[in-house]
Amino acid sequence: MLERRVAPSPALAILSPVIAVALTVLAGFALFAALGKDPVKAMEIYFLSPFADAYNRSELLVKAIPLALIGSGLAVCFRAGVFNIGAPGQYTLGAIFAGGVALHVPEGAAMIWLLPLCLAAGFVGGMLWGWIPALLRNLAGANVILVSLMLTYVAALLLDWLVRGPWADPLGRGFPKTAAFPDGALMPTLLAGTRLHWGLVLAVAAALILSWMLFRTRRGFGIRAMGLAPKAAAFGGFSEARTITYVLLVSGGLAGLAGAVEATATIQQLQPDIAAGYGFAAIIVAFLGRLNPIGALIAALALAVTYIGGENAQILLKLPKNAAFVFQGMLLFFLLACDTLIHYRVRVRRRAGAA
Amino acid sequence: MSSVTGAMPRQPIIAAEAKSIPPLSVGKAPQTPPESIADTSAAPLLSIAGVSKSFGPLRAVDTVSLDLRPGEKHALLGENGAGKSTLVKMIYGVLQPDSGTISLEGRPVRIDSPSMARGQGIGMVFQHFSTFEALSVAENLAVVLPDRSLRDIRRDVRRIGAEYGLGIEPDRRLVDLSAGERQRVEIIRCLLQNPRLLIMDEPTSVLTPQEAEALFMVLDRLAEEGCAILYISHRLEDVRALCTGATVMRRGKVVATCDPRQETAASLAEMMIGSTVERPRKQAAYIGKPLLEVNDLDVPSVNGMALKGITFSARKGEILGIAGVAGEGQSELFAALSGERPLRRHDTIRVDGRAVGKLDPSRRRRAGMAFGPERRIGHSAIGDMRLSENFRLTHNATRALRHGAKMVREQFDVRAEGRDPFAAALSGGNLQKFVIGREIMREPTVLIVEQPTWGVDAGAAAAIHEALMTLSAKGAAIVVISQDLDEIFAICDRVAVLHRGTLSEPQVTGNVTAEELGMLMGGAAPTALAGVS
Repeated sequence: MLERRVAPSPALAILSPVIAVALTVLAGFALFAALGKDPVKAMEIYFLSPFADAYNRSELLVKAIPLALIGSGLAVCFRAGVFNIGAPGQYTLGAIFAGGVALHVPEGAAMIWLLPLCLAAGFVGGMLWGWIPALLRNLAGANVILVSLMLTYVAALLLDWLVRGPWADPLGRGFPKTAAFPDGALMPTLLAGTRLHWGLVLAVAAALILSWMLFRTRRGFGIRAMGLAPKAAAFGGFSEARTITYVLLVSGGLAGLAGAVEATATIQQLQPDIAAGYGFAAIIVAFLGRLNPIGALIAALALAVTYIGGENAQILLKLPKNAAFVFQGMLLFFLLACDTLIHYRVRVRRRAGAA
Repeated sequence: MSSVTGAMPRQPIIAAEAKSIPPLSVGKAPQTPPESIADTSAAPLLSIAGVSKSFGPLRAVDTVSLDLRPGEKHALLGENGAGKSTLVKMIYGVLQPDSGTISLEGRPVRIDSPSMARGQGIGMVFQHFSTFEALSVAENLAVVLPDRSLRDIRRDVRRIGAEYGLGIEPDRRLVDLSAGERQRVEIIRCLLQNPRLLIMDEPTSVLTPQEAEALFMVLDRLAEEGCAILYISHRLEDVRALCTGATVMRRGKVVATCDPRQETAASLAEMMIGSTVERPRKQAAYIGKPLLEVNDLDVPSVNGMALKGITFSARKGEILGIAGVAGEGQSELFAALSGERPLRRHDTIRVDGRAVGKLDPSRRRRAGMAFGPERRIGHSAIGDMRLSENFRLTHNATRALRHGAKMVREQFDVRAEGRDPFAAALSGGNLQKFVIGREIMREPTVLIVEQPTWGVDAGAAAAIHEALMTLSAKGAAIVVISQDLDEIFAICDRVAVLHRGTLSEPQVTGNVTAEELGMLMGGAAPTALAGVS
């Protein structure tokens, strides 16, 4: 049985993700063996090939950037006990807003400001989409989880309609996509010859700022207090409604920024499948990073390894595409299970009623 | 209803001879309860002999004996903490006695669990119902009656409802039911299990007067059918209207047995609370202008007690006690005073002349107030945060936080291991000293505390009382909401009683007896006091 610890164990707080990864590897062995692949080779491709050369390493960071941006925002949100699982929708809205600016600002206007404007628009778009569940929760008691999730589908359909209808590329021969963004709206690369872009700087900055906000400011204290003990937070004078709005605006805005970064850096146009699963994977990132914005940065890298490793495994081992997703799912499962150990210890149960 | 009964394959409730009893006549006066059919010569159904139970050094129940005959409506009276609940938990198998015997129909029994108690025909209706909100009435009953089909249960609920006037629709969900209706579900649950003895724990504390009246009719009817009823309450008028016998407990011991119909509310209160000679009283202090003024405070009920027309003031240098048994509106009053539930009218609450009614807790703190709620972990403190961060909960400044917590620990003798431990690692007494100390560090003009020494060891309680008296001597006004009369007599200058959401006129503690307070706490009209003193 499980017994509550008097104080959370600091050793296990660090060890728990390690144990979780170890268990994932173990379960991965079973999975690949069952699929008839060589487990040792599969693990090698999964965990080592992403670091093999400069190209793989840069791709790792490219994948990690949106995960870190969304994940660090979600870490703040989850800390407050507000379960925003609508990050994919907020991401999509961010991309739409950025794309709207990129495609509609007239040529010849101050082009230096176009990219910052796109990113700011993306942030606002995500905030707007995060604001809706906050508003409905505070006015009508609506469930944040459900509303934020449902808005994901609304956002996806909105994007679909835009790229097929009003914003469709006139030269696109009916393909659902917009015209390519003008050069002024494109994110410059950080390293020549790779796709690595300035979004990395944004992701690191966001994690640092959020971490400072969460652990050094009174507002951050209120967020953590609300997540741990809502009644105590209210007693301290932190308004529940205002905290919910704040964390949804922050996490929504960062997801929107991630969408804008992806749209301007790697895709450079709008198309229906820009989301690429980042929004949901970022939930794993937030938890893997111990709901700490800087932790989310590291966790985003770890998850990117499984992405790149999974892609490589698909090509080299001819693994089914879903194996990568199964692998990610196992990671989250083991992680949450191991977290229990931080606050509880396992004890073999003796017969009750001995008293 | 008889046709439904006739179709029953089983007779789960009533013995065949009891069926001939005509339906209960309606409209009887509460002063003349129906004649008890309890046959005093019959062997007792339940016999408790010399039962004791200790928790550590505390003897919660001390050699208690009690007999209960079929059809008897017996009250168990006592203040909070007198040992009533512990005794009843032993009868219902939740706790095991350290010594003494419990016998059913003359045979000693060992009741290891509530399910064993139910098997012996003992049913219990708890003060707070443990139910599944999202499930229907019938589904909730099916959870505790796994051997019956949902269809049978639905039919039985309708039949019992019609028979006893406990009408409830079996397909309604629990979340939609009032407290009185939920209690009906609990009673039906007991009736479905053929009780010979029904234990009711503070049944009317959650009911409206009309619902309470209906409940008494049901209990009268059950007693006529031969079921014994053990009725736990501190509401003296309820007991006088319903019960034919009473056992009064104080500090774990039986101090009196009586027929409550022959007693007055005042004499019952005196038995319950006892003499006041040994209670230390606070010396009269310097008392100045009012610092906290509450004027006609009304708070509508949200899953609790509504507050009605509460008016009082606490003056400079004064400790005002607000007495009352549990659940009479204390937590609602605290939330209204702390601003956790801001009010509609701004001038309902004034601090040193300044209206604060619409302000939230932070702004009220800035106006000079400080608060110490009853519950520590999860309300006044966060268990998973360190003391330095818990200090921050009611102190706005962001600098020197660890220092602030350290000062509280030194000044108020908060004992804990480590430089900055988690609040959950502290003992109740030390955490409460920390919380009270933290609030006193704010140097408030008005301090509101609820149950400041609840669940705290004697040493910590004394330290907290001393800290409160020192603060009042410095010129703060303090309101102590407490269920502990000893505490109120020890530290308060004036005392008022909260009953069903209304507050009595505050009186100087030195001029009031515990009996008078006990009567107010039991709901006797204030005018009845004239006859006592």
